[in-house]
Amino acid sequence: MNEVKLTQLGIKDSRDLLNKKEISATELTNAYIQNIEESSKLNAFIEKTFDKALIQASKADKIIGTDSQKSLCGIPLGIKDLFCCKNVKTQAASDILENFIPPYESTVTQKLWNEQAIMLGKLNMDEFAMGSSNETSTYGPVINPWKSTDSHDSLTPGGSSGGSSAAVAANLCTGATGTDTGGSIRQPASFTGTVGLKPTYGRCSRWGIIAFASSFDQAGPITKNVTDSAIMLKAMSGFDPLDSTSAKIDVPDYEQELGKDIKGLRVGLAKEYSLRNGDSEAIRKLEEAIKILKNMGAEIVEVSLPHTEFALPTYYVLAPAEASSNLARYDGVRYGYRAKLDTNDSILELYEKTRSEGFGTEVKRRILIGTYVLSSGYYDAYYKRAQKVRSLIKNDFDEVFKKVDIILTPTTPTSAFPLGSKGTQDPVEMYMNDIFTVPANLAGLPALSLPVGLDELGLPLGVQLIGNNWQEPLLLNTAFNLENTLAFENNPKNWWA
Amino acid sequence: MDIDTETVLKIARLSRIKINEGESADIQKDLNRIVEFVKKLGEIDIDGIDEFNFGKTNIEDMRKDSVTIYDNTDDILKNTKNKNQDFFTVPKIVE
Amino acid sequence: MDINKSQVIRGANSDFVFVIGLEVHAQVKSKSKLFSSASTEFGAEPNSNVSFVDAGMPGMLPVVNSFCIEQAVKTGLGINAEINLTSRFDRKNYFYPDLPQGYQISQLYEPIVGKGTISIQTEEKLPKEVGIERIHLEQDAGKSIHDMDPSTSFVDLNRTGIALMEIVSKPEINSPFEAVEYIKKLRLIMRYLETCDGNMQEGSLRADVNVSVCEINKFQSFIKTGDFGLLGTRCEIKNMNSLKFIQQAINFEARRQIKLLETGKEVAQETRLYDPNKNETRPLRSKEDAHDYRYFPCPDLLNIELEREWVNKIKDDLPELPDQKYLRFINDLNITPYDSEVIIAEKSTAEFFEAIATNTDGKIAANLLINELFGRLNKDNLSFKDNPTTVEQMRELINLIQTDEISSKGAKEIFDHIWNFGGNPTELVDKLGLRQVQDTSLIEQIVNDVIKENPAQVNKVKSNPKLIGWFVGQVMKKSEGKADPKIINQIVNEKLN
Repeated sequence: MNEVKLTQLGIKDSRDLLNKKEISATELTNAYIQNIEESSKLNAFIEKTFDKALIQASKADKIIGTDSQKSLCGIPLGIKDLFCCKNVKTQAASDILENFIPPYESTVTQKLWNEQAIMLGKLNMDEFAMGSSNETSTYGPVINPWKSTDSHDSLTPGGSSGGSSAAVAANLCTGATGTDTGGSIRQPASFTGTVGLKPTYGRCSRWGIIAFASSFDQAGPITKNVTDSAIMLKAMSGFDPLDSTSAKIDVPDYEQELGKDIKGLRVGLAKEYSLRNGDSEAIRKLEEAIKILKNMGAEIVEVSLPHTEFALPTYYVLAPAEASSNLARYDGVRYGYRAKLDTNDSILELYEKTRSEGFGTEVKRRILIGTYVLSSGYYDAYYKRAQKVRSLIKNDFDEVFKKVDIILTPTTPTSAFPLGSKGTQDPVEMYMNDIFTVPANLAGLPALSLPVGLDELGLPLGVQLIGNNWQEPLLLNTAFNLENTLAFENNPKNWWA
Repeated sequence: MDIDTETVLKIARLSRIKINEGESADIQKDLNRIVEFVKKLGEIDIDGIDEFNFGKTNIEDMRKDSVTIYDNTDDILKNTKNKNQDFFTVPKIVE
Repeated sequence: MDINKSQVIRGANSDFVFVIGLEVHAQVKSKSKLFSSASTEFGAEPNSNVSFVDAGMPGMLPVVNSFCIEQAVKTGLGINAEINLTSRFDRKNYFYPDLPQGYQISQLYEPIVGKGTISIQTEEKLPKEVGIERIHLEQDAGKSIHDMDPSTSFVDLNRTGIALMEIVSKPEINSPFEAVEYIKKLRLIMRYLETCDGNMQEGSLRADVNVSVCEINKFQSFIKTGDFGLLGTRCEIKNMNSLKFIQQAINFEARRQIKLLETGKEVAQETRLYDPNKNETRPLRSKEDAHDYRYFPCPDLLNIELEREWVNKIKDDLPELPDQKYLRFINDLNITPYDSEVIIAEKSTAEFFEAIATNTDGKIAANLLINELFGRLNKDNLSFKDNPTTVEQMRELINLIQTDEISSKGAKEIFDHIWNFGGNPTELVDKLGLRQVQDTSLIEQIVNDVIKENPAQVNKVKSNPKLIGWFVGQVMKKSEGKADPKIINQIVNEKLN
């Protein structure tokens, strides 16, 4: 098999070939290394751990076929830079964590290595996961491997997990970890024709993942297809005594759940999600998915989530509030960047200069707004009020899930947009990208973005399936059924190698 | 305008972020734009609504009182150059 | 309430009343920290008891130590306080080098313990109840050391994250004496409960002291109306860890405030430090801006839900508290209030006392314990844990005194011997020749001899009955101090009256 084709395989197909010993883990790893080396134009990998990868691969080759083989043995993965990996430079794509080498491994990545997966390196992202276009990274933006049919503009791969989505779409790894606080897995997945799953809040441990907004952050997989998502999710999930918010709920074998008939499935269509965008590509893709589901015997139910329009304002109070506090630890004292001080500078200058020079514009903006909404005199009007509205939004979903099994929405209002085209004059313009994804984060619900097909510009576009708590099996199985009919092929033309 | 120049400086100081004169106006504009956006929350009647609950835990689910010997002073200090005799160092603080 | 003399401080023109509120920070007695499993051991090498959580490393998360919760509940029950079955942790945000997270996890909105009371005595020995507003749990900060280098401060994080109970009193303390009594009583209760070791030198008990003064007539109206507006502006004296200094600081601060008021100036509400070398308080310098702690619920932690049954079980299992013990010792063991107060002042002495006094003679036991044992410990600068005597030895000694086998003087000798060399008291009686002569006929013989030898004195006795004592003394002398003084007295009286 030639190497280019080898890297087009996802996790499941690679696993099957490895098991049949048709390929070796070393061979597979080398193929990805070659792809990564040729992909510098995409700017997806920011830290390469090839030595480590090849050692892991050679170990995997010895294990494959033995009793000690685990579920991801020999599978090369990319890791978002938000995950702390022991002795691997981890910066959350920020200057403030300059040369930070964690002396510990995040729970989720440790679980992947326990399953004998291979680490190719760290993936680019928006600084501290704050962004929807990967443009806030200190390493510069990632370029979407997909290009519009009518322009040569470089497009965003989405954000914040833009390195992850681009790397999977460009065959730089079999799958990648992402994190999703307001849409950071699903929006990039939609923009790159990949499958992105944000699990139920508490499904994956947050321990060792650099915090953005603690009550929203969830890790999840970005993969080439639904089966891979199921395989990777299983390896990433589970209770962690080190994370008080991780759930003591058994992890099902998600892959086993795939392929079941979805006849009688009740699919909710929220009018607040479709009407807003009227006649758009996003809605047309949604309708394609509806048609398929109907044909499979699903029942389409119109539902209402009345507080949807308040989701983004709620999110943009609460997430910055938490972030302003979570990012207070970056003070130049114990790790990361410390500003050069003048002789008489006090501790105050140490803090102010370090943080001013170390954080990027968007991160500073969110710290400032978060500080504002928590400050004396504004707490009740903003933070507390937003927490109450968050309850209302959660209640909306609780009501709807009494009537339907899943909710179907567009993932993003549009397909990938050119770098530099949004949010330069108005930060809120960029925030609008999260309009369909944020509600699931507010309510803690699992949600998956599945590529439906290409739009008029030849760019991929996804739909979002939102499930009730712990309904990942249902989400994955529904997506799997849709995927089989859609038969979307993720093969952007290789212009970068 | 909700956030005046003084407020920008106040929250910048609370955040320990230095704002240069040149960037102050832009920051103020952006912050006001965001505040204007989130002010929509004021339209909802929240009477009698509880704050979002992060979930609850009981005594059995908490950590037990046992000690881990970390023996990791080097790891704690290895990411900074600003140290002396196993202490972190910062510019002198006068109380 | 009446205003007592000790609560009044004289100004140049009028009298003022002290109004004092205390925030006591008591280190919870636990093996590991509040949110990490690092050791709480005192005096370890710098930065050696620090987990990655304590050091505020990226991605680290707090996990609550259940024992610290239990200790706070116990303490609450020990001061008759309400236990809040639902409580929550909040973040208090501020920057300081010994606060690695950039926030302290504390409990502002929903503390674990509500209102309670502590009873103390005023300087006039009048009983008084001081109200407790609340007890909340919080993390201790690390230690900043400012005197090790001319240009830098040193930071040690060993103490970071150790659990503290902040016990907040109402402003119902009205003299420096009462402040000290309050802390002593609180400390005693916690020592009985074993929830805090109360070691002020090691910093495991520290207090912030809020002091204001109130003109006596205004204070009288305050008593009638409860209108806090009538009270003066308070200053907070931070971080006091000596009872002596607390007393001095309150006195200084009250005088300073009175001086201001009497010269027509205002007291500024501020935080001050006490300098014991100069015996004065001065404003804290490091407060570049008004504090705005931006408290909000810590999103890394869940609400704590306690079960009523669990709380009741702890309540049922509480040890006897000092106030109860004090009364029981007076009533059941027949000792004086003064002795009881001395004995209960430490749990270990109270327990020792109870062991030696039960079914023996309380008064003799108290006497032996306070005069001999405590006296000797004090003299040799030892603490009670160095006590070389055993319960068995003391009980035997008490028995020997009780049955008049030895005199109180003999008891002293035996005690000294035990202190120095150990030994069995009963055996020591004869070994040291201390057995009292109780043979009535033998004593009568000596009495007769003395009467015979001193006719002149016998004549005088008739007019001066006090001379009987002289005869007793002579008899004692003749018996080489071994005759039972009770029997001598009885016979001498019979013969000479």
